[in-house]
Amino acid sequence: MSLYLEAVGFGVVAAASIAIGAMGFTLQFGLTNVLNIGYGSIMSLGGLVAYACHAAGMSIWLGLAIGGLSASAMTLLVAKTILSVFARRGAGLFEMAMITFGVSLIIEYGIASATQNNTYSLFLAVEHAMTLGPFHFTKVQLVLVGLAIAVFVVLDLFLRLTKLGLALRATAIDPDLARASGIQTNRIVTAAWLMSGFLCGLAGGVFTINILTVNAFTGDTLLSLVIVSALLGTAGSVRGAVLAALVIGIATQVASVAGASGYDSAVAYGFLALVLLARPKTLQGELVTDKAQITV
Amino acid sequence: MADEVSFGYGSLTVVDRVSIQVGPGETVVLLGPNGAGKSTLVKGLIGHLPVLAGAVRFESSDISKVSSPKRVRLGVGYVPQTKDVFPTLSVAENLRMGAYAMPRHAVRDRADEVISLFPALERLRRRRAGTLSGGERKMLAIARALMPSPRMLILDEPTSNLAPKIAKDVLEEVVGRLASAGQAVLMVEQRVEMALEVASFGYVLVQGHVRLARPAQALRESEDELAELFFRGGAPPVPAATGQTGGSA
Amino acid sequence: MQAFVSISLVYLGIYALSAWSLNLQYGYAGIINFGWIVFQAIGAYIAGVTALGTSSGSFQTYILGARLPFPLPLLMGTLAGGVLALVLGALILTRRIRPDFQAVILLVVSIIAAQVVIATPSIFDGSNGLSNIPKPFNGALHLSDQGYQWFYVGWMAVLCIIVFAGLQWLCRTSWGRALKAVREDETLAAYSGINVPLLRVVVFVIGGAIAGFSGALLAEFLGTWSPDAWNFVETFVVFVAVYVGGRGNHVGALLGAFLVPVVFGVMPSFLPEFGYPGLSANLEWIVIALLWLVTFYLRPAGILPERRYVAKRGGASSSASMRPTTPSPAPPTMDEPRTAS
Repeated sequence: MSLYLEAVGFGVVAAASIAIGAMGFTLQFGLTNVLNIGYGSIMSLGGLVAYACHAAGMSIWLGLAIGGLSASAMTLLVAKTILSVFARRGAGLFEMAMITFGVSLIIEYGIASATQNNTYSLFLAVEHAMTLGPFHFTKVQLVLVGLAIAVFVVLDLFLRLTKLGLALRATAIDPDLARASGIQTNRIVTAAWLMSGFLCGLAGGVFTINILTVNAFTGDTLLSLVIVSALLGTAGSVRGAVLAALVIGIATQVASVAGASGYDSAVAYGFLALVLLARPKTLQGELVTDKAQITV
Repeated sequence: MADEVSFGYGSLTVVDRVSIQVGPGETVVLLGPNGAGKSTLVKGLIGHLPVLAGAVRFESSDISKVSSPKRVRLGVGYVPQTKDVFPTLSVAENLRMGAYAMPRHAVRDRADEVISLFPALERLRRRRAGTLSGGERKMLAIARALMPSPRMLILDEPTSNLAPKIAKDVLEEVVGRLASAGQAVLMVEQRVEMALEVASFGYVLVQGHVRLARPAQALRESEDELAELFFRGGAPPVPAATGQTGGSA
Repeated sequence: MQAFVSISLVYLGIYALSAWSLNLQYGYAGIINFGWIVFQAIGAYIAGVTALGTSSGSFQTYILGARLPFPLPLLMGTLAGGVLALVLGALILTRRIRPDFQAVILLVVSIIAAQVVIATPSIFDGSNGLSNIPKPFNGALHLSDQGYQWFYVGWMAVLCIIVFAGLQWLCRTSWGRALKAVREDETLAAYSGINVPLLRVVVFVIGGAIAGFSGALLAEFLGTWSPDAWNFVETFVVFVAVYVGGRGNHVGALLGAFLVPVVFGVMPSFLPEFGYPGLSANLEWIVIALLWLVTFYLRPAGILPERRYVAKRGGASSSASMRPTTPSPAPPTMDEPRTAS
């Protein structure tokens, strides 16, 4: 029994990176309606930058922040150069998803070539786990969970209370009406790319700290769980994404302990497929339109 | 406001060299059968469509190349026919979005002012816009557009989807009140009689061209001509040189 | 050198079948089968398993198992692809689900299948996969390795011609026209009396069967089949092939199959290694991705776009090439009319 409880604990820690990633993904998907498969490659980038900073002597937390910033810049670059070009030509949603997959291949294999297909190991100071009731956490794990919670609180408040946050939601709901209300939607979309890019890189960094290794393809493993969480949590709801991430994180860890470790993401996927089949409407959220809307 | 302007989609010109004008305090109505291009013209005026020919002017500057949000900041307000509110945001949030360009403290006062024009919205402030009734929703849509105190308000078929009694209320109470308060209004409408009651001037658009441009009173008395244009499209338009397609002064 | 040509040609055949299968499903019927690879995989596995005999006593573990003579394993593989398509199609395509969600579900199916197979070695020998799959006619012909490859080239060519002719014929019938009607405007097609879900499932099954067929052939050529051979990227490559070559027509799909997986996939594997090990494989992927992006930018309808058939007054029909401009009107993507809220 305590093994299962511990698994729940691990699940919460795992959920930290999934949740941060899912929040960023939701932001992107909600505003642009594009299923950005390139998100995974940028998570790898965030993780690698965080690793590199740490290997160069900086604190890992600073490395996380720098990883987030690099990811932010990269996301904006890709969005403005590649994605908006195709969106402007009226590419359909499926084609945009294929394009993001192409971008993801270029970035990941580009990084792989630059790093000579190496996998890097992160060396953090060995710590003793602290005991909290039936759970055991290291200090680092607690910080990661705290980080995810902080990100969630800040983002939620931002979207609900600030003018920019409200404008983000309005643009996601109806960009034409937003423009007719005086909102500069292309600035809003740029802000969304930057913010979600930062979260993307942060998620990659957090994941790297959690599993202590990173390479060009690290983001892929995380991406599948992120997309499942984002879609399950109602594509466009930040709170839903976090809740789904928690469920998925815990479910995969518990499945692992229950002996079904080879099936852990199969479980998550299976769940998603069932929900999509049975109640496709639940996933529409606030943000369904029919074309990609990356540029004004 | 529109000067020999053309709008269209792709290779299809829907609005062809149309000129209309709205002066301060005037309530101008755009009439015409379905497919005449009224909605297209209005979307073009607010900047959702690029100008294919001619120009859009506002207060003597050419805004043809100005983006929609900037046109709103310059003083043009717009209420679309459908998708006129943000359904998952509350009434208060919708109003706040209408006043996006205004500083925070001014928004609250202005919101109170606008709500006093639409008293029914007062007790609905926290409700999600998507849960409002048809009439309440249209009032919210107009209220949102009024938040930045636009000098010109464009309404695209404000009474479509509304029951006749509510439509009457919206046109007489809301638009009428706005008109008597000196607001310049450009309105596309299908309910010809009701619209002409509140309007001061009217244009009739058929198949992308202006066919009639007269004061509302005169239009009210031209039933036969209107019927001819609406149901049979009238005779083909005479080329622009004779001035029959233009209504600009 | 000979090996280079013969192997490339065999793969051309395989990828041609793959492209035709996907093109039928996507280019003609508008079904976004993101899980396409799983149909090829099951064809390969079933063909292998029905040729290897039962697994007891072998170093491999798998279900079923029979030592069926040629051409039965091939047929069983094809059938497997079709049956899987029937099951999935009935479950997924008969409901009113957004096309992009259908795509995600199919993708998820293929990912789950891969995970389950790897984690459960008793099904298809897990990540080791099947090996020693007998090659057809090998015993009877006594050819050298290279000679056998040439034989296989001829064998594939015959099969491909048959499939190609069959598909061309199929799509010229009124059934084929109904397909296109559904793709262009589903609601209108339904009002014209076309049973849309049934049509979709039938197309899906035929496509699945051809995919299974290609898998069986590939497994018999390689003699092995393992999960490495079937992950999502393979589906992506076939999609790119169909897009680059031209959707909605089989010649375009063939061209795409040649350009993308063969020219840029198989042929470079014969280049000498340079840089560090694995660099050329990495670059290959980058090149394919770039090819996809550039082609989609320059010619969104593909190199050989679909020909539009226009009926002249009086009933005689003429054809006009569709000008490749923007992707619309293209097979339905994820567009969905926004419902009034």
